[in-house]
Amino acid sequence: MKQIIQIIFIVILLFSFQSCIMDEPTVQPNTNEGNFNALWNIIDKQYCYLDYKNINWDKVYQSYQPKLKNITNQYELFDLLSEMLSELKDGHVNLYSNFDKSRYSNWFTDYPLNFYKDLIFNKHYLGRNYRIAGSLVYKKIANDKVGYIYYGSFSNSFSNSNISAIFSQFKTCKGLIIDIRNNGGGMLTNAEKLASYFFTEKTLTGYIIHKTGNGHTDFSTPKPIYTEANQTLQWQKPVIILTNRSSYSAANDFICRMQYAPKAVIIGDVSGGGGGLPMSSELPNGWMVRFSASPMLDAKKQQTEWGISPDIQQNITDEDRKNGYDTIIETAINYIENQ
Amino acid sequence: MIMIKRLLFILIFNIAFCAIAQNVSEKLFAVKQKNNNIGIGTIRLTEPYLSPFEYQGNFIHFSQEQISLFNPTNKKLSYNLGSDFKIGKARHPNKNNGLFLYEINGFAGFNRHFTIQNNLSLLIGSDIDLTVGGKYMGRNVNNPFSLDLNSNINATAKLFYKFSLLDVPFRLSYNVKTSLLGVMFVPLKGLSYYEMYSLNSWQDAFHFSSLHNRQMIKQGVNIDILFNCATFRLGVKHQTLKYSANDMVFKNNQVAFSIGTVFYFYKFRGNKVKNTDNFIPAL
Repeated sequence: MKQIIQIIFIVILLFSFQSCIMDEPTVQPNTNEGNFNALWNIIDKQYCYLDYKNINWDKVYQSYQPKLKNITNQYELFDLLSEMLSELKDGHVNLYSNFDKSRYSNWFTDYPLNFYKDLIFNKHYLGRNYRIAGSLVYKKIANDKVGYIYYGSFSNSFSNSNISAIFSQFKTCKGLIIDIRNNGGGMLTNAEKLASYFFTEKTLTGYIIHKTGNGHTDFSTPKPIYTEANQTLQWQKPVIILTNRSSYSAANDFICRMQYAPKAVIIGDVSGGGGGLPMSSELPNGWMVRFSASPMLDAKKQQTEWGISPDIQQNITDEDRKNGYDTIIETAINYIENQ
Repeated sequence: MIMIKRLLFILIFNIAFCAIAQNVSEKLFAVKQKNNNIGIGTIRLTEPYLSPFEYQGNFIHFSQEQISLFNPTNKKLSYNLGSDFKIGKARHPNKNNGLFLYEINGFAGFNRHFTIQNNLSLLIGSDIDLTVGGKYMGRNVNNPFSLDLNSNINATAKLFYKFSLLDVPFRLSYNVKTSLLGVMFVPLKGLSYYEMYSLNSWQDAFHFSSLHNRQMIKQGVNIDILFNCATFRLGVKHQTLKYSANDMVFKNNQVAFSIGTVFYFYKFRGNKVKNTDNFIPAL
């Protein structure tokens, strides 16, 4: 009995001694200064592109911190923090409050639009008699020689049977166009699934890395990403992917995979990028911050954050637009017809 | 002669029958003591994978535990099994965000009994448990869910004190449990579940745990009121849990109140044996 009591005493002693080893991180108070510091620290420790983009985050602190003394309300605080986040030049970085969401959109606003809904829905292309399978809008165009699919968002799902129906409709076509212009992204699993129909074997199409520490260059070894070929449906004719600067995030990942598909060609403008898988955290006042945390690379281990260049660069010309033609679609049609 | 043989046969048969009956009446049975509880509690937790801040909330829980002697002839060793299920919600300190939580815990262990006095007994033992749970924060992008998965070997102690008040028998108990070593799932903060599940990338996600990185104490006080028809239990539990891995420190402190019942039962096969003195409970 005495021995048992001694053992219990030793365990309690060990317990209290060990409790000082787990240092808890400092939690910022819910003040303007506290929220500013919390946001700055989250980006400093967890944002993955500070080194790649050559951003001197300490300098950003010194530049914005003095402005705190002029803040009088939460709207001004939100605007200051949003302005600080815009230094990252990242469409995946947003600050969310109950009254606003910060955004950086120069990754597409500084470039030609290269996509007009009134053009793709006019008589030359989808018109009025298009079909919708899942979230894919499709129709035969160019005198039924080319199959055209518009996919507006990778947040929307589709099934194997949707793709089967589309491929069946297009079986007499010489080639297929998949238009993902103005597709802002969504689920990576949908990007992987759509790409799988255009591969005939498992292919290395990229890498992903994640942060292993708080340093700006603390990353894991790249983990390979493969695109598996769909076992029941494989499109083995030419496929053209249409892109513009608003093809972002999961759309960018789809383009990255399709670069390595045997019969795929990318036509349009450089994609918007957004190669960092975003994650979220919070500020003391409850505002949420989203930021890029895990960079996705192409198969050559090159960053995709700034976008992927097309195989054929093409913008929509004013003349074509005036005449109701989408130059990028026309370029794709000509490419297919000349195969 | 035939009559003598018949009488002899009946005599031998009766002696044999009586001997068997004697053995049956001397057989002991280890009775299971089972209790079921339902309760509510408050929780304060820090889940750095989802948010750096301490969330506070409430939960409801359902638990059951059973204890029985290994061998009714040896009243010094018993085993116990149990499980606990919790579901609840917690909120950000600024009350403008929340998370849902659930947890299932199961354990199995043994106890060594020490009789300190006639009405005071101490049980010292150990158990192994498995906890599966999760926390879900809907507004987080790509990291809305954090899985709780751990298994531990724990040291346990229980103190029981029987007394009467106004001719009503009571049993007061205090129990304490602390983790000694185990294994826990804690991914890197920057490791998304997409990478783990889609790409099978589990590096640095599982960790050996011991007192250097995981400290847990669960304590409870119960009062059993023994009525003729049933035993009712009122209890309060407290948990302090702190663990760290991958530069993150997690905390989970709970206080819960519960009510429940305690039953003694034994499963029969064949003929029922009515001699209640042969049924030996662990407590």
